[in-house]
Amino acid sequence: MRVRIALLRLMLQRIGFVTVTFSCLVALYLLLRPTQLNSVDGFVAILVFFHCYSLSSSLGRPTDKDSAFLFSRGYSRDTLWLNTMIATAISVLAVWLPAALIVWTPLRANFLSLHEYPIVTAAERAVPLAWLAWYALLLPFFHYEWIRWAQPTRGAFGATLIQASMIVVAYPIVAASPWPRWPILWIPGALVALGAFIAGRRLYRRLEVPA
Amino acid sequence: MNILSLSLGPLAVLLIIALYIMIRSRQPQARLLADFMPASAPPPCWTSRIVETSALAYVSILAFVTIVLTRYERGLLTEPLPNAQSPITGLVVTVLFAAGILGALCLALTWRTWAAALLLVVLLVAYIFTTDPLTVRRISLQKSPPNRVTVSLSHEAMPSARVPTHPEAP
Repeated sequence: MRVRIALLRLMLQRIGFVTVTFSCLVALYLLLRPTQLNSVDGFVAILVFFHCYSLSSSLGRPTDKDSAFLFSRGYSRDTLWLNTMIATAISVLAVWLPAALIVWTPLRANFLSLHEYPIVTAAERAVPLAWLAWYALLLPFFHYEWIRWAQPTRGAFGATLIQASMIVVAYPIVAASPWPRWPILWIPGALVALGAFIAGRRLYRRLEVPA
Repeated sequence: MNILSLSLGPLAVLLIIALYIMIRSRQPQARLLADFMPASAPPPCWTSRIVETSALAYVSILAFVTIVLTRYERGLLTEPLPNAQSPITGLVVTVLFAAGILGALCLALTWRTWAAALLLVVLLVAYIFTTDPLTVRRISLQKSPPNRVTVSLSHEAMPSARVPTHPEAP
């Protein structure tokens, strides 16, 4: 299991358009929204959801023609999985990091003249971390779901429904704000996401790739 | 209406469209695998079962916390639903939601992940369409004692940045 620069570059080329598009959309939104940001922002939630879906369908779909080509190039399953995860992480960082810097640096405050509201800028500091937590919770399941569909076992539709329920549950949960009061709920969430991540790697070795 | 409430409808519609696309995009793969698999595919392995069951249990707990405990904590168990013009009391709805979530949890723990996930999706979509969490929050703020100062940093309570800070003196 090694990082292959050529393979990684190929994967990054496949998701380059998605990454640049979502990065620009988030940056524009942050610079144009005049009111206080919060972790339950519907627009950002939609962007995170579609970014996760685009990444997993571009990189993690074993039945894709491009993926089938990669499987025929002699890379081991572990190498393909590792490079897929690295390319995903790079894309997430390319979208999230500029957005976080816009919030954390005075760029947004200067652009929208928010200096008159120091309490607003102080309250916005934690918001990018919530977006990152959404990525961490959703992305392992998006990748796991594609891998599960390529398994020669039944019940794959259940994985899709689990993914749907996780997406649906994210909105009312964060909107009802139990998180600040029950931060302990993040711990099982992180464990479940970690479980999906590890299971995805284990199942990736046994997936069925069409010829 | 604030921007979050306005985004609820489009979010739900986009979610349904995305789910439809996701399900449609998986059908060719399912057919492809069916060509190579025997008529009855083997059951999922233990890795899949454990991960999917734990994920469903987690979603069930989160849904329970959100729907039931939040309403209980804010004294809204017996309040009518804010957005529903219906005589059904909040208590009945809360009990129904709680029963459904616990049922989904039981289904998940008995390896019926497909049914449990479907039940959870239905319950959560119903929750989004019948109650607006922000409305619940707004009602809870109104119900707070008058001598108690409630400071909220939510975007509802904050003024827009366009509003001038120093209005003209009379």
